[in-house]
Amino acid sequence: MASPAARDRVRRAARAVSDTSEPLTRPAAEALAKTLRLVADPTRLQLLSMINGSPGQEVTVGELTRHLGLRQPTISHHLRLMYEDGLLDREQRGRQVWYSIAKDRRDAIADLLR
Amino acid sequence: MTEPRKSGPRWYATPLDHETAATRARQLDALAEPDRLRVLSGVSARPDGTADAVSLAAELDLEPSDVEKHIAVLTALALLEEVEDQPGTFTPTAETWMRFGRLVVAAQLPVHPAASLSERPGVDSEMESPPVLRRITDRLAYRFSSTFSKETVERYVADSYRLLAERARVSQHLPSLTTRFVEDRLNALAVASGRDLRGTPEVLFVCVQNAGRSQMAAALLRQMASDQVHIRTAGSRPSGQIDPFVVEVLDEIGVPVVAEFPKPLTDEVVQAADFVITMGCGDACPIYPGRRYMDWPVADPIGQPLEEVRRIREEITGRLKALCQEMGISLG
Repeated sequence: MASPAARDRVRRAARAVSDTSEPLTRPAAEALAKTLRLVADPTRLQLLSMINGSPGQEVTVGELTRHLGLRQPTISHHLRLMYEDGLLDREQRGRQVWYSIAKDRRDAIADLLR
Repeated sequence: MTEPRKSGPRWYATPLDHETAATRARQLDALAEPDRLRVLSGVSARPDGTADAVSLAAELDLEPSDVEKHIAVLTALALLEEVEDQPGTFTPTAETWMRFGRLVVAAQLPVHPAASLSERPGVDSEMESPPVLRRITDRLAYRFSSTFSKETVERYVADSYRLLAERARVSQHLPSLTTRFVEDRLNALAVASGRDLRGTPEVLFVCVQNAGRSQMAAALLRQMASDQVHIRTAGSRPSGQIDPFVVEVLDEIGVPVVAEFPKPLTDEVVQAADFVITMGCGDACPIYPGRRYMDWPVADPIGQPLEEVRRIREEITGRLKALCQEMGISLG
């Protein structure tokens, strides 16, 4: 339990934040719309849900291929689109490429998948 | 130490199934329109989480007719809903807060490091305190008692409240939003697990002491149609025990009085019911919209001779048959 003083401080900070809360600006809305359009695809949503639910939240193309029953070129194509948009990160380790959801997008993507 | 990545199968979450993924994709596709996003965001950023087309249009510098069209699309997708009793005013649904809350509003806000559930900013301490969650849990546990354990309901309430509290800006609506959200989730869970609750009417019998008439009606209806209706009883001034003559005349016709003890008439009991039948205590019963109220002028069996208690039993039986007909329940 927080002390009354700490609680009060949090509440004051919150009030300051909520007073300045505004709707998305047009540029922000355009950027978000672009991302949503990209995500608005059943296969890409399934890929994201697998990445999001995997241990360490990263996967290889081989793993996705085995678990989704899609051909590897199909999966690679979708992953590339999302990587180019900045939705995914990728990292080469040995002979494998590991894909993960970009850190700054993880919460938002996890929300969309709920 | 073993390196899990290289050594065989790892644990995976089940990916979204095809149908869910397709539905979600359609929802996201409709949202992927900058002005529509700004409309949703505009409603969500309001301090009370509600807005109408005209004021939104002015705020967002859009045409009111365009805003109306966006609102129509968002409403059709169940992303917005009209506020009860306020036509033309809209508010995000619980699902919207959960899936898009952080994207359309909270994402722009600095995340406060101390923002835990117990001291979440923007939420009044009154709303924040456990009593409100306990009240929600009690009411829903009652409503869903024939399907889910109280622990399950409690978990859903805590989880849903946390999800919404992290996203929704609307502290004063949080309890009602949580209640509706949990109801939806539990109904969905019931359907998913083959325990559909919808369509099963909930009947509440109320008398003064919850010791005679309401107990008799409950026992008789349970005998008639126990699998097609949920039955509750309560009393405006509950007594200590069920009248022995009532037990006797029910026993005569092979109807057991099961697991019923006189209970007080509380708000959540009435709110959980679809049909509220009062017998001799009409005024004490709180009235809520959406419930069907009936007052049966049945005499009180308590203190009456056995013969009179039998007559009351027959009268209640006749009324129950008519009630079943009204509820669309066919008696075998």
